[in-house]
Amino acid sequence: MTPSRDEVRIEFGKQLRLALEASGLVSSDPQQVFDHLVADFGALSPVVMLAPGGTDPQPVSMGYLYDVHVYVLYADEDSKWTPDKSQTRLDRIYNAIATWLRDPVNKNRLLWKSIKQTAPSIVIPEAVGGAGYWHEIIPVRAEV
Amino acid sequence: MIFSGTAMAKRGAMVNGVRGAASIHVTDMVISALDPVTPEIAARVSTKAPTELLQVYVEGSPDLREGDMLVVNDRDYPIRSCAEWDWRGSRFLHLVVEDIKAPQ
Repeated sequence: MTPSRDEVRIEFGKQLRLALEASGLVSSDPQQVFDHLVADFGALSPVVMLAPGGTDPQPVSMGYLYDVHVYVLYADEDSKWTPDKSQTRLDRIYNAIATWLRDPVNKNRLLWKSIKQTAPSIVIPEAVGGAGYWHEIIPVRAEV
Repeated sequence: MIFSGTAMAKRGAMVNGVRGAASIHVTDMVISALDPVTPEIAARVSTKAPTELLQVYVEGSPDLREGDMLVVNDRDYPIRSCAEWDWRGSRFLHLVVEDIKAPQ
């Protein structure tokens, strides 16, 4: 039976969370990687969330589209967290996600035949709850 | 204006590039009621969550800034803007906060 879009998203989120937590780029307590869009992530940084991006039915397969949203706090004077550090952290999180997507172990998991980034990611500065964040959106397609 | 409420504020701190849950930063602030800025509910830019903007005045000049969390009745409100406001010889802070219409 073809796995559903939510089954794939939840597994994708779980595996991505484990990989990013193992890299030390995010914390596991409190959790900072989510398999869904969180309405209010408070003061957390970085935050990685998955959002559904649509479905592309094919004759013999199904393409599930997702957007990976990455938020990194731009600056914090008290903590000496500077814009160059935040940009470096954003770059490293993107690299970790791209590396995970290219890893042969992840390319062909039980729930999907392939998974890959489908278009250039975009980076925008954004205010969240009064604080400035980098916001990167990475489009991903899972073929099941 | 009647200052009949109390509030606290939370702030997060970066440690090794990771900012976890915010912790209590200021306590015992005296505030006015939380009132709507406008009657409309808009989608939050970042996560599209339905959000109402509220405003509140705080007595004095506690150490607050944009990005902190105002805590009123155990509920967190992200502070979107924080401006000093002088009125009748006294200093207040005028806050615009987000009331996110989703479980916290």
